[in-house]
Amino acid sequence: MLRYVLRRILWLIPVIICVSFIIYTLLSLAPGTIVDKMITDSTTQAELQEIMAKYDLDKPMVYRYAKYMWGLLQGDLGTSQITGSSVWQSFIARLPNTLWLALASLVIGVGLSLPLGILAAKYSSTIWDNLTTGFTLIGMSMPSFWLGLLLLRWFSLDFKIFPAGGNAGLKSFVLPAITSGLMLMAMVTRQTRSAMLEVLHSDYLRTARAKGVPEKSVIRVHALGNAWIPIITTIGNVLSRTLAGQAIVESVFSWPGIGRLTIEAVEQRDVTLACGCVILTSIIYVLLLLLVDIMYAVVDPRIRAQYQGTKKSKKAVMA
Amino acid sequence: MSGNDAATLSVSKRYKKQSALGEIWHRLKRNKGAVMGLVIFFIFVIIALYSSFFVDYNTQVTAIDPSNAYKPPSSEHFFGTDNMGRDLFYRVLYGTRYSLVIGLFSVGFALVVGIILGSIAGFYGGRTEDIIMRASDILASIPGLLLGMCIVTVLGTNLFNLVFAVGVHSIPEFIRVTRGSVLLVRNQEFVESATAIGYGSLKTLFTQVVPNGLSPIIVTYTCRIGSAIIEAASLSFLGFGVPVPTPEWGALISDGRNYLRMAPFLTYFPGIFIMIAVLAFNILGDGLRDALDPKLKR
Repeated sequence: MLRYVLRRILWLIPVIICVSFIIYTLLSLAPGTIVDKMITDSTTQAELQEIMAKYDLDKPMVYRYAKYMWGLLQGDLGTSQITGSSVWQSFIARLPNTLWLALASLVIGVGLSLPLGILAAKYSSTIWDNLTTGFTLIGMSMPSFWLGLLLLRWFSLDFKIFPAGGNAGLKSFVLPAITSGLMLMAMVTRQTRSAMLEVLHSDYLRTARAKGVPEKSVIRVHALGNAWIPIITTIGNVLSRTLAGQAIVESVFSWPGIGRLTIEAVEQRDVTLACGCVILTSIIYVLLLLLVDIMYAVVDPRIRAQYQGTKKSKKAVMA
Repeated sequence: MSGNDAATLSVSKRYKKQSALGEIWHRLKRNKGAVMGLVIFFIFVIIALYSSFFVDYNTQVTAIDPSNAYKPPSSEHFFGTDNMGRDLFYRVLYGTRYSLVIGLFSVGFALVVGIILGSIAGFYGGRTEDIIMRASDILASIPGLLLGMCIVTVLGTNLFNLVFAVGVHSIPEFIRVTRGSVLLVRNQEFVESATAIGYGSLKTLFTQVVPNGLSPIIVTYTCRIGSAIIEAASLSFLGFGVPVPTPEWGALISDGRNYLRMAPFLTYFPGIFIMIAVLAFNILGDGLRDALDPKLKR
């Protein structure tokens, strides 16, 4: 298990190198540079040269990338070309906002979707099940920025219950968390329902009922215990997608998180900052998927046993 | 062989040929949601194809008339008018084509690249497979929205670039699905017999293996279109989409956002259209999955 986790973490190194190469090249090739915003009509040619030299813009892109990569290999993400502050520090300063928001949407999403999905599976083909299915389909089809704007209009402009933007206390969490939590909720509810449906018709549940296990623990222990794997996969996938797509929710609610930091950096052609943000977001993304794999082993003894088994079965896990 | 025999043979042959597709169609028909999705899809296709006959792009979709701005929905302007006095109903109708093109073609692009790379990875295995799969993993670990933003920044805002930017991000999924499907098919007897009668490996791969492993790929295609439409609208919303004044739905919402207080209908209507389009593809995808997946056969 430990070896597997280590291998996955080492896998981050090629990811970082390739991601940095792709993003750095793309942004360097983009029309316009950070200098565009600094020059005015009165800027002389000499001053322009000086600014260009300061950012190495007079040298070829390969030189800049090599310099950036050299720093990166030493663990230095460089400094923002506009504000001059360290990329790592700007990122870390914004990260808690994004993580708290993700946690809030996770709590809303998973907290509601597990009971909803279980009930829908238990009373399948009833009105309750149909309502849940309809709700999940609509939740999956709604663009999150649109939902965010609707909530903003209704609960912040019309009723003035929640603030319209920024992170100012617990109240400002509600709307963004619902916005990014709804997609999570819809997907997880759906997956929970179908995973539970598959398990509910199994023989071991009939056995459990036959030997007199109370219905509550039939559902909680025997059924849910066997349905965890697809549910966790969905939670992990959607959560990582939510984190990556957080930029859009953050932009609707002017939330000071990493998503907006990245958008602003891309818009201003701040190559170092944008590249650093994308690399760090990718690392979080990969680690999150690793966490999902570890969770498999935690919730399912069958998978745990595979890791402890012979070399052959370990290979089967990785394939 | 008498003429009668030949006739029976051709009839039974035709019957057999129909039965594979016919059975899928039969199962799809029983799924009310899928049929509804299909109907909505066709309605959108008709709107996309024929809207330019009824709505003139230059005088009705993009012409500016400030005296007419912010009119609420009425019998004259079904969806109201925007800050420039443009009729939102026409703009939304005209925008259908952009979302459909983006949805179908961006995922189609990913499908083609994914099938080629994924089937090669699955069929040949070994070093080739390792390289393709690791490259696909790396591509998958870049958050899609951010990658799309960077691509549009480099290439500039237009429809084709948006299609590409949204499509790139779906490639890894198709590689994975195709590889898995090819792995299941490649050891069956008919593949062996194709090799035995002297087919080259590429010919075997693309005439025997891939066509027989298509169903999960088709399902993935349909299911991805919905999220591709949302992704494209998100990029447009952030300003990384189509140039103004193209009436793409995400861009319409982005415009309407500034007038959320005084003219919320500018935000409501394009969003409802996005939702209906995505919903249609999602339920159609679900229906196709049920119809094509033998595991779920009832």
